[in-house]
Amino acid sequence: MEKEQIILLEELFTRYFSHLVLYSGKLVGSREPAEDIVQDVFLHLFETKRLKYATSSFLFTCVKNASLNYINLSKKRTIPLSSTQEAIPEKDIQEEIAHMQQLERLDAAIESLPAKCKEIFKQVYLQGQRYEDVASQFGISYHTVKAHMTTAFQHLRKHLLVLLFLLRNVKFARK
Amino acid sequence: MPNEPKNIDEKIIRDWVEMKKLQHPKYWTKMKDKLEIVIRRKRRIQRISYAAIFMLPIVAGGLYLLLDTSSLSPTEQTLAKVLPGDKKAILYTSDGSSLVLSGDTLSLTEVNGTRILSQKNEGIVYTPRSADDKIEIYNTLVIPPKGEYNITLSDGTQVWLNSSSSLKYPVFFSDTLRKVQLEGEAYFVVSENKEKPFIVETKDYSIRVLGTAFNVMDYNDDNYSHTTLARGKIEILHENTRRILNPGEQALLKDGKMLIKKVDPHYYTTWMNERFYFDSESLENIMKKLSRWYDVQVTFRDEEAKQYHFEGSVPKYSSIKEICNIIELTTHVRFELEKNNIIVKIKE
Repeated sequence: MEKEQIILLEELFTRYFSHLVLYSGKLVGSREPAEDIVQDVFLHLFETKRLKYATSSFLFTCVKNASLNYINLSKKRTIPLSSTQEAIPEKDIQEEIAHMQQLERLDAAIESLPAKCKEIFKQVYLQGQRYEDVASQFGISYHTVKAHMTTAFQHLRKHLLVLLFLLRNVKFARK
Repeated sequence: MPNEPKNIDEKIIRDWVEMKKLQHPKYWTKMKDKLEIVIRRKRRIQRISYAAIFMLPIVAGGLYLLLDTSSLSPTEQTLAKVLPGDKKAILYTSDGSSLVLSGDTLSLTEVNGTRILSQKNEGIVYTPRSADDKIEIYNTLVIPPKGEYNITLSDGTQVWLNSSSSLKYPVFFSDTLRKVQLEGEAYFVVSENKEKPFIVETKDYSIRVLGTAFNVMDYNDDNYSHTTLARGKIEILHENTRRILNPGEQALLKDGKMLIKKVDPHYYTTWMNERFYFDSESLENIMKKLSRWYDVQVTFRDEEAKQYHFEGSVPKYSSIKEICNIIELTTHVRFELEKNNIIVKIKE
């Protein structure tokens, strides 16, 4: 029974942890507490045996409430949970989920890049390396790196055209 | 950072970079460490039986240990200041004067000569001086909220009175009957005397006893009352029905109906000791009891939480925070304190 719970927890954690931390970080304004907040939400759901109900919107709602509680506690005052729950409309969570799906699609698009191209793209973005450094590391010319990056962006643009269009529309709609 | 193509939203790539970093396996490792601690703590708590509250299936189980004790929330800090009751009572003597008792040694003599001695451990003891003095005079012992007291009546019967209760009794019992009036909760150990039945009258019924130990709970502000028999035999008269109670049975009166059920009397006859025992009681009833002992108001923000049930025990002589923590640990309710009011709500 407990073993199944842990397996379920790992699945949910792997899929959602990063997105929930990004969301919580936006709410509390800092990354470090956000990591703890999200971990604690997962722990709490594990303890109360509610992991099986954890849909994406349920998880985002839990993290939202935990983040707002964190803000309230750090302000050294207590606000009834029920009133904070109304503070952020449901729509925000739907937008967050849409954003999460966009990131997942982007990730899938990056993963589908040609092998060399993908490697260089990740090196540049994930390691924060300059083209020069990547070039010397891979033993290729600066221009080859640049060419790979151009290919990468063309590929992503193709995959993400629809996605970015949607993203912009969401932003306009919010204004 | 590359300054190359700008038409792919830099923002979404930055988010993707953050997401990728957060997908590092080290986070799952950290999570597993925390999980280990929780699982171990859960097992340990289950083992420490004296601190355990076992839940009925209707309450979703689990522990809630999100808050380290080192980082107490403001509510928890104030809850820690809500202290339990102690030995406290007001004795009204036959001439109408009142004495505040708080465990100090005190001695006085009633008009019929009966000596009344009050001491910290023995409580109040009535010792008749002259058995031939037949004047029926009454004393009343009133226990305020946050109080408890015990008393030995002139026939040797011992009574433990709980918070917000009162007992009216003759200083010296007449030849034919021993009759006392109770409001609230009391545990009786009646000294045996077949010739002189002992009768406890409450607002709902009268209990006829022939040497026995039992607990009566009949508060005016509760919508139920019950009498639980530990030893011996008692007879309950409610309106026109007469019921005999055997040891281990409880007469429960709710909505005007009397119900006899089998219970473990231990849960109902040990509140005068170190701990409160709950026999799968609703949170509503539990909070009512705690409100008498800690003299606080209780408000349920979520009606649903009233029907959560608990079985187990909690320490009686500690701050209410400890009790709240134990209850919070085992279910998803949360307690907050506003002035003298404890707010009960469902977590999240």
